[in-house]
Amino acid sequence: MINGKLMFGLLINSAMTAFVAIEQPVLLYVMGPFLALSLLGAALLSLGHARRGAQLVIAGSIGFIPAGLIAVLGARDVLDSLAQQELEARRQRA
Amino acid sequence: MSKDYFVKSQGMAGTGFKTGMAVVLIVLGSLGVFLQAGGVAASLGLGILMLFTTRWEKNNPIVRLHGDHLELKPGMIAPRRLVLYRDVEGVKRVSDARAFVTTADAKRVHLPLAVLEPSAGSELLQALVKRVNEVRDKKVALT
Repeated sequence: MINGKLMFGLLINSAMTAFVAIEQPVLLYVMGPFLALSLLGAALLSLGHARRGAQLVIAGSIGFIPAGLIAVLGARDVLDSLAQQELEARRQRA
Repeated sequence: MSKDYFVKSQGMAGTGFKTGMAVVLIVLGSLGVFLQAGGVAASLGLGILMLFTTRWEKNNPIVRLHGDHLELKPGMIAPRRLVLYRDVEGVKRVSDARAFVTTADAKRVHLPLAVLEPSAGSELLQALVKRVNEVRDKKVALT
């Protein structure tokens, strides 16, 4: 379920956190939890909890906007593909 | 099966205002960078972000009527809503800018008419009702 956009976005989020940790260590207390949230989301995604995982990635990436938008778009793609699958399921029920 | 019908954001209410606003923010932000005023310079990033999202809205349909379902994607990071025509119970227009589709499971799906010209909004609703009535035995009316 993890796509390229999401991977690249998480990489950017991690790089931003690392940069902040070096330049302004005190800001790590603000950005660290956001990064932890988005990485937890990615872990859930890879474990098969796609909806909850994508939602956590979105919540975590909000702290990195505008650069965090890349991960948000990747997670949104995952949720959109789930919506498409649900539509297929509703079609089958007919 | 009829061809796909789609509408994009249009006019000042759609993307016109946001494009203007983005340009103002980028100019302000560039001045901020030049004058080394950190707070004002931050508007450069905001302006670029706004320009980016506005371009997405200009190039992608916000409402698309497929053969058997309605697809809504009002913004770049907005959730995609997919509604089968046979699940539609009614289409209600509250005002020029607001309309709802009610579905069989009692959900209300908001149609973003505010970002369309009024005539495009009416056209969209009529096309939607026509397609819903093509697949349903019990006809629905635009109220």
